[in-house]
Amino acid sequence: MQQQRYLLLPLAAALLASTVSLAAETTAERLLNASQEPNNWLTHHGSYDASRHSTLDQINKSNVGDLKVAWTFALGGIEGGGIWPHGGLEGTPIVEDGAMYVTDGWGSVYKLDISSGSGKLLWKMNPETDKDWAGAVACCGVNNRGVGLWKDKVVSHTLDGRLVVTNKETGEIEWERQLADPAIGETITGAPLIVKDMAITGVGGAEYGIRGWLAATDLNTQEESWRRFTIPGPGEPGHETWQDLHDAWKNGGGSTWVTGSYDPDQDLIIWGVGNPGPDWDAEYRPGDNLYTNSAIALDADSGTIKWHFQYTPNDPYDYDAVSEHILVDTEINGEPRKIALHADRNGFGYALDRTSGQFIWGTPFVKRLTWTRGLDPETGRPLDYDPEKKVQSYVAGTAPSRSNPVGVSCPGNMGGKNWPPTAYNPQHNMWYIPVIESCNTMTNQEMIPGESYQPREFFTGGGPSQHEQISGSITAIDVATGKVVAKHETKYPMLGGMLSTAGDLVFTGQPAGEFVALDAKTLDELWRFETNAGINAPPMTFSIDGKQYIGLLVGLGGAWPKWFVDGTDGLEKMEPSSMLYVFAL
Amino acid sequence: MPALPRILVPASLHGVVYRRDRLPAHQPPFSLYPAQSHVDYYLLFYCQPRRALLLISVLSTGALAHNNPTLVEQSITHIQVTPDTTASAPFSLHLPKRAIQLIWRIQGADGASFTLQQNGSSVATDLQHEATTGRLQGDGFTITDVQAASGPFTVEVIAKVAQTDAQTASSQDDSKGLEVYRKANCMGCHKWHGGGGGGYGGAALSLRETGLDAAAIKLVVRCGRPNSGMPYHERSAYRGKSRDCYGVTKKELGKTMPSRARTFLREQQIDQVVAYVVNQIQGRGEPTYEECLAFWGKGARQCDMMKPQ
Repeated sequence: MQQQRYLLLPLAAALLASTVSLAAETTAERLLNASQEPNNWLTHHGSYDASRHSTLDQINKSNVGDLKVAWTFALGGIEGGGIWPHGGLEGTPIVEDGAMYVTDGWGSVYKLDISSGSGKLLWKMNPETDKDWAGAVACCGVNNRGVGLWKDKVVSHTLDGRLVVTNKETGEIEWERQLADPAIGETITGAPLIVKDMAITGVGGAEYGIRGWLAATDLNTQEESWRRFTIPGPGEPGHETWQDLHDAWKNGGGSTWVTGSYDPDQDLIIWGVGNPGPDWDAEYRPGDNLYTNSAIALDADSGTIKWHFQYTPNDPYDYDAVSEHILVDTEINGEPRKIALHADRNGFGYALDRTSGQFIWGTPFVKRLTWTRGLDPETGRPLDYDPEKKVQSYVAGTAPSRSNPVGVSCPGNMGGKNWPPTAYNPQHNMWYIPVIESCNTMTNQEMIPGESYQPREFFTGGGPSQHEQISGSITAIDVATGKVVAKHETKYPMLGGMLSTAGDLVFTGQPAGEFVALDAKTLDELWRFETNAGINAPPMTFSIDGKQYIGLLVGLGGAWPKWFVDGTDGLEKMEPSSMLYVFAL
Repeated sequence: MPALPRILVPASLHGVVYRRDRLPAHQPPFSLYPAQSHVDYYLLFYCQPRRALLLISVLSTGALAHNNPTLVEQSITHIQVTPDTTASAPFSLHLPKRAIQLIWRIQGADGASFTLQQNGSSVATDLQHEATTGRLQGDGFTITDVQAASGPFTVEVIAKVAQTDAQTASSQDDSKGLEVYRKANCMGCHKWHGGGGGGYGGAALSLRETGLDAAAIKLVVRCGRPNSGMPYHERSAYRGKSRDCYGVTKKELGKTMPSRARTFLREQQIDQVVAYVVNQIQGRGEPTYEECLAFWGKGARQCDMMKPQ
């Protein structure tokens, strides 16, 4: 399906030399056709459609039982900073022509020579991140999800808000630019999305009262091409959805810290936007609060928002929509459709028409979903959304509010599904979601205009707590019907993310250290390796001289160890680590 | 240790540690408690949150003293008692800061006992030589119902005062406490300035504004706070059937059991961090530029915004 979208198959794919010295430049054409180079993993989600599906099938259902560790590599970056006692690994390794680029939580980039069955360090670029400065305002861990490649450069981010451009060969920083400002609680954890000659950067900090944005940096001129705020200002469309009288939009949240996808046919960047701030005091910000908790589609050259779809208007739960959107061309009810798939923190998996943002279907992928009775089949709006109300309360008792400060909702505030990416298998038309099966308690704290917001201080309007144990699952949805077709339950929430391969396999890691391969159709477990360290990163795959490998970063990170570990008995025993594992037959 | 009463109180109070003399007066259920004069701290927490049923644990000063070897005695007052009168002359009790317990010491009447009243109501009965009570204070106390005394005697009231490191700490000791504060990642929730506040971990207590005294802070550091994000830092806390923490066992706490800290602290380290909190954080107003530099080190960029203009 999506392979047919590209008529100009690069002849070079099979011929590309797989040695470091002969590496070709990462051109825009190669990135457009990344899925035609399955030996490489050229961009964060594997390809612009964000499917995280590889056509490699040497490792498959029949032989995955023989999968073994080929080599490992110990990274640094485990040290703490700010409010964080240690760094973690959430990144996706990037592989190009016998070289691998990985990052640690503090943004150091490691280039490894992987051309001869091992991983030898070629260089390490340490951006000297100001750890306390940034770590004190990182809501959810010391994280960096990886690099982007552009021509002969490696493009990366730092937690303290910089875009860093490094020479691929030498590891020398060629230039850098400050994009986010930790002085107002802005940080960067996502990998850059390279589109044409631009690096697209998202920002984190909705818990610190930022006004979110996406920025496009022209990598030739080193200047900003455009910056689009996710919270519209006065006079901009959508500003009318901020109906307070105290400029709540200025601290309205709407982070963009997960790398989006790119639809070259429409020249649209499709990106998820995070929760409004303050998270749990919706009365502070009456109105639907666009474009928080929305998918936005931006014209790549101008950053103009072409369409949007809001999943949870006037969100009182912290149900952000920052996750990726997978772009799929498929048939729905017999009609060919260009869709975007999104698994939201609110517990619903959605299919949108990506030419218009129109809702197609929505399905709960969690076992318990209590905050609304369902979705309107026409509009996709929550059934308990009341257009007459400026402040939504959804199903009674679920939303914390000033009059009823304690709400209990399923999913809990961390989702549903958090940032760990989903994967899509075009052969089976199945979509795999790493699920947090949860409920939790959220408590409102009234925020006072003019008083409560302080730069670099939490601006959350309350906080969550755990009243019960939290588990997880891998849930598969049939994209044609929008129905859940398989569920593989796990003791702990899924905090790592998915990889799908043409070997009829789905790979994923679990927070207590189990790295597993599942049958792509049944989700039955076919293989496991125990790393005995917290897995918070998605696996990826590549091949060298015809031999397929699976790569995975392993290192306890993210929000869970600090904020939610009391909901997962046993995970408090996981020690920080910072390891790269590579598996092969 | 008295039995643990179960009682309905508002859900918003879960997990809160109150000192006896600072219980919120407007909460009717607490009117039950002043009579229990041997109780000094109350820990309130959910038993079954969905039903808003709270378990109230009462902590006697004895339990508190058990793990606090730094209590010193301080004489408060002497009361002359004549057995054949109905009551002693009224007296007042003014307690020093950090007094956590009173000892009633009878001089000159072996085996005597008495009842203590305040403004005509009994607040403690059958007090014998060396009996202990909680932090009773105020005016209008009398000793009545004297038993087994043949002649006049004297009652000395002694306060057990927490002689924390805080009171004797030098600035060098506080630097140790700062080290512990960082090592145990207290700033992870309470922030570097101790102001706490809302956030992903829920609302962390403001150490700047807390009314807890050093002994209570130590208790919370040792034992954590049930049903909240505050973990316990003492390795042996809640071990087996131990009731050293809030008078309850791990089993009784069930789901409200606090989580284990990633870093356990030795008692000396706990004393150091408590001293740091009491000396350097508690009672301070807004965080200052100097405090910020003292915490993060000279040249820390995060302090720039606090720089006086």
